[in-house]
Amino acid sequence: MPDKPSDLVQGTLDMLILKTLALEPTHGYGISVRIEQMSKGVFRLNAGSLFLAIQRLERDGLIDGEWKPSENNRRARYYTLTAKGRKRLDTETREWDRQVAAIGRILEAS
Amino acid sequence: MSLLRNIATGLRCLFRKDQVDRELDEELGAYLEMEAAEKMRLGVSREDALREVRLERGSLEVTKEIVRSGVWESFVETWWQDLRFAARMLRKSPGFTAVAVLTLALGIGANTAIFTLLHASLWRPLAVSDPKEIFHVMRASSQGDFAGEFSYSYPIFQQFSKTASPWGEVFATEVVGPRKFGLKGVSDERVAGEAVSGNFFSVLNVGPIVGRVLEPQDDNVLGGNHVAVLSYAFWKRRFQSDASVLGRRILYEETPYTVVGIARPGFTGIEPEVSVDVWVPATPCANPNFNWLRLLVRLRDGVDPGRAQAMFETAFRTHVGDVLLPSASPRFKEMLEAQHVTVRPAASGLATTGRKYEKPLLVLFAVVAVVLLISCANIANLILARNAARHHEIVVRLALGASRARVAWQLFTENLTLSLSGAFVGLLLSVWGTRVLVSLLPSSPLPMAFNLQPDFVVFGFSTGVAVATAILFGLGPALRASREKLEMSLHAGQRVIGSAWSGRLLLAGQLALSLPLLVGAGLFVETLHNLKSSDLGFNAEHVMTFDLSYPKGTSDDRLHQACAEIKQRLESHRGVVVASYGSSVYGDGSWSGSVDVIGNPSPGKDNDVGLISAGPGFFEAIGLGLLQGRYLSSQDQAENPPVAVVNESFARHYFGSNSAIGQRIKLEPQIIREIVGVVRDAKHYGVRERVWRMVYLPARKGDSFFVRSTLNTQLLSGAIRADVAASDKVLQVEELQPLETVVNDMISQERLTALLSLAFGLLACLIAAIGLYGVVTYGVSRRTNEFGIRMALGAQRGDIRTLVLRQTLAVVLCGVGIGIGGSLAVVRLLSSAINGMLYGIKPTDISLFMGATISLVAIALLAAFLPSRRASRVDPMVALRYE
Repeated sequence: MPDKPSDLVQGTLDMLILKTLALEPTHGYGISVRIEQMSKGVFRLNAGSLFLAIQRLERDGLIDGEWKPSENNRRARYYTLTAKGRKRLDTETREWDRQVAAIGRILEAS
Repeated sequence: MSLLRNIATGLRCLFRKDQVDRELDEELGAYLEMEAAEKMRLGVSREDALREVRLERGSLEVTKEIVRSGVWESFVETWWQDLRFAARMLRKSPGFTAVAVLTLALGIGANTAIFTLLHASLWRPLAVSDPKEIFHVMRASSQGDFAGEFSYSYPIFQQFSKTASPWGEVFATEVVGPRKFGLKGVSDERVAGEAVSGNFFSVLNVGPIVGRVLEPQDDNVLGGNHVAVLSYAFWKRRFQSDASVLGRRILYEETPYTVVGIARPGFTGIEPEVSVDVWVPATPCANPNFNWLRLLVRLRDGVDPGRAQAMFETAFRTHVGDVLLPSASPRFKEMLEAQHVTVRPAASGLATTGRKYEKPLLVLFAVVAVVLLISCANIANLILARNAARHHEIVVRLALGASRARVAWQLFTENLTLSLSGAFVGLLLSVWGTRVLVSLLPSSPLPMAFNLQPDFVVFGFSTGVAVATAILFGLGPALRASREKLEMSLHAGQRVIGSAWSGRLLLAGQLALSLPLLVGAGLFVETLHNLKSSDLGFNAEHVMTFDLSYPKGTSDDRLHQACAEIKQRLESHRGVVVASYGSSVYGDGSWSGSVDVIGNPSPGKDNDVGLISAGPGFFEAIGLGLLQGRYLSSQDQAENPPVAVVNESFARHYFGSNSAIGQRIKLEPQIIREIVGVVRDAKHYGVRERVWRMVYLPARKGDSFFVRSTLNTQLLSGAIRADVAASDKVLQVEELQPLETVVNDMISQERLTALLSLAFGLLACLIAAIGLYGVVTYGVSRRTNEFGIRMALGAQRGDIRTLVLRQTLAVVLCGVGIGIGGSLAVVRLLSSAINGMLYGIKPTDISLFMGATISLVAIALLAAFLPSRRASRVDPMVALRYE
């Protein structure tokens, strides 16, 4: 096992899911695998929090779900980013960059 | 948008729960499956893979719970479950449920009933557009003899209209009353009618449903247009909604009018207690200074009522100074000086009855609120005991992983279910209660037309009260139960229950609250008693009274003859002692005038006297005692020579210790009369009013009859109607009733307050006593073991009884002590408001406080005595084996 997976910074899960779906529509497992891969195993999602977030995003109209056959011939729910979701991702990414830069400046100034 | 979407999805999930659940299952299943497949590719067996996934990602069921709880509809769902569970639990203990629901229903019902009446009579806005802009331009005085509300003359109305024209519109109505009405040339019906200014409908913005309403030009014409508008309800009731009534000639107060329209449905005038049938235009009357109009104004947007009041006051003073003062008597001047214009919000109309009973109703409102508080304490005690019995259940649920908040919320839901059921039954009770309340109001010539239908405001009120009571009686016990300690509680056997202290505290609180109610009830009952037993000067017992009504223009001679004949016919019945007539004994039949005493060397400033006309036998009929000289007889009617009878106060004021008999007085219109008799002082203007100096003049006719007899009411009523009809066909009998009823109606506010405060005071004591009984009984049953040991160690039965009673007495005395302090504080605080409602008793009457305290302690001890006796009968052997 690699290092113990860390918890996500509060409030970033939504953004990560949106980002994942911006690359390509996929199902819940796909999202979790991709986040794990892209973070090189730093973030491992718990099924509960993942689907809670998916449910919330879908209700807010940021993503759309659709039943489709999956790779192993079962039905899975595939999620796509909506226009509204794309816009939200943009603003959140910008905001995130701004905050990271600010925090970085604070930490560097010693 | 996203909120709407959220609600829509939520509702879909609620109503298609199965499908949503299946989908969630499938999605999560697919997820686990995929992850497991991934692991199997690395060579792990399927079983191990699934186990690993579950360990890493959390179990399927838990995940499902987490996902489900993330949305709002899950709260609804849980709550619905709780509600069903609560209903099941309550059904399982029908005794407890019945007692609690009934107690709450009584409390909430009483509150709702009084609220409904206050709402209907005072607060419900008029069914017109923008009622908030409507104000009552009241002419009133608050000074001593002159206190009261007065009407305006037509010229003042015109003046005020001019004054207000830049910022508002003044409109006028006369006092609504029963009016003669007829269709075929005979005025044989009575309707509720009022004359209103031509702009009445346009200012209120009330339109017609058929024809037209009154218009401003209707009262501009000299003498007014003789047109009438009917209310929708009257049109439906009397004319079966027949549109051909338009253009029809009707008789209104014996004057022909033409019906021009029907007002729109729902509009019944501007007084909540009266449903007006007919409106006619108000026109100037023969005497320009006759006061008969009430004025209202619709203020334009943003006009300050205070400024409007100042401008009306100025206009009023100018009118008084220019027109009225020059010819006014000193006393009338004083009266005019004391009157002022007040601009008062009238969004709910004139609310005459409502304002009259506002104070008693508000007092009763406070009383029933306290009764509800006492019931809450009772139910809280019941619930504490019940939760103690359910201790095991609660602990098991906590041990199985329910959060404390969850348990508390579930218990609270149960209490909320209780109080909402109580509110529902209470609302039903209140519909009946409101009718009882209205029936306690004195009978009026027009039927009471309050809209007592519970509306949204009333529903809102009782629901609000229910939620508030649930919080009051249920939140504490629910929170307390959810804090049970797990470790010791799962052990069987001796249980630690801490409800004893809170139970006692609630008990003391109940008694403390009951005492002020008892004191208040005592004050009001005593007031009523004092008023009833106060000497009116005359004797209203066994006297029937009625008014004669006759067509306008009936000659005096004809009336004189009729009066004499009715008197003679009535007196011929066996059982009738004496019958006579005069202006009425009470209230509005008398008038006043200025008197000159011949040979009085130093006439005082105030020579106004009250005047009453009296037929032969008048004094005998109303039982007004003679002090000197003689009563008036039928010979005096000829006015040759003119004579008069005066009362004690008059004689004392003008003649001191000298005899008044034979003295001469001059009255308008300059007739010199000789005093032939002096009678006792009588309170002709109300029990609370001071006694006026009175002069009684011989009358040839009278509108009011008084019949003293030993016959029963029904028999006599029949005889009266028959005799009047036989004497003259044009005469009609009105307001036939015992004189005592008239007297009682004068103190109807006090009667209402006394009756209801006593009833609610006793109810409060009863509830508190039941609570006390319950708590002591519960305490005794819990201490059976202890009593057994005490008796085994040698305690006597009496000792046990004393022990229980002594401990109860401590609680009772504590509560009563707080109650006395509280009552004194309340009485101090409200003394200015209460004083006006009392008569012949001080709010801090010592004997009353003592009486209330002693009765309360007695009631409490009685309630505690039964369980204490049971405690003393415990068999030590049984008790020791107990539990």
